[in-house]
Amino acid sequence: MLPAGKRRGRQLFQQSGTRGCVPSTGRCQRETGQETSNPPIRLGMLPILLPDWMGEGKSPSMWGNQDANIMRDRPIFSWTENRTTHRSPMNTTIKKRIDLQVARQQLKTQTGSTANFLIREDNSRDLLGKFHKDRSVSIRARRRVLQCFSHQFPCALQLQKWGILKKVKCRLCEKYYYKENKIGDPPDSVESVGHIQCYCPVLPLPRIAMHHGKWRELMFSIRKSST
Amino acid sequence: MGLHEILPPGAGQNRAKLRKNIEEYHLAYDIDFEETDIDTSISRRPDGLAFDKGKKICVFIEYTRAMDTNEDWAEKKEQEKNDRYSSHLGFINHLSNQEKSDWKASQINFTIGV
Repeated sequence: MLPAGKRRGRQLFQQSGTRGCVPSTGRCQRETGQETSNPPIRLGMLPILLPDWMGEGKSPSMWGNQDANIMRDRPIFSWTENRTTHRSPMNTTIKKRIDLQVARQQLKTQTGSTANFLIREDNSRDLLGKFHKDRSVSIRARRRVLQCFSHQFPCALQLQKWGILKKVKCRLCEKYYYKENKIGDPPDSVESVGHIQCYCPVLPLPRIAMHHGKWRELMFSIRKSST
Repeated sequence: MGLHEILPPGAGQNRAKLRKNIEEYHLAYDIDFEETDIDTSISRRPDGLAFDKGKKICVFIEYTRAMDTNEDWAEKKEQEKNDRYSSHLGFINHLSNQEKSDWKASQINFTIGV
């Protein structure tokens, strides 16, 4: 049997969870329209009832708790970068560093082609991360990059793996070779990401434009660094 | 070091003299060649050239977007690019030695994986 205060508190809690309850007047009218026979409880009584309801958590601070420091603004996380030790409380930077550590640890356990691609050293993989985080880049462009290196880009090869398409041949190539050489089965015509970006004979202009664009950037950087 | 854009094929002067020099280079080093090879050699253009007049250095600059599916893609592409211009560099260095001009040619490759 609960003490009288707790019993009353439970009753009020149950009532306040129903529709049509008006704790300030103590009148509780259910959906049927019938009034309950529970005694009315006024808001003025809450300070008396609250300590009973809250139990052990009634203390306003966590001074007695071993994990109390987590809640305070103390620099409890530390890491070393370029031989400098940093300390910080939990914040966005720390959360990102934790995410990064978790990702790195998980990457070691993965053996798929995406993981193999990402853990290759000296391949400027950090640039992919920077590009993905760059908010000035459109979300579509960032999504395409993510799709490409995670082998999710919906080219014919991928669509066939997913059971959506039956043929993996590049349709542009087929048309091109049929028109130019009257050959129905051209060499290297599987529509993969690599084929689209590097080989497809129908798409030389975007490739050349990309090459020249990057080349101009490179020239600009060399000029800037030249004495 | 100054950067120069490459002229389109045939836009340079003294093309006949250049052909003759290339033929002499091939004969001097006993390299097999055909007429079409010389035309190919002349028409081939690196993406850029850099000159250091003080140090008398000429650098071929090559930029390539290559597929990076395989792990050894960068080394392969580097080798491919070096092979493409090795005869040009050899010819320029040979000509430079012959005319005692002290100019030396080399190559730098920039390769980006796609």
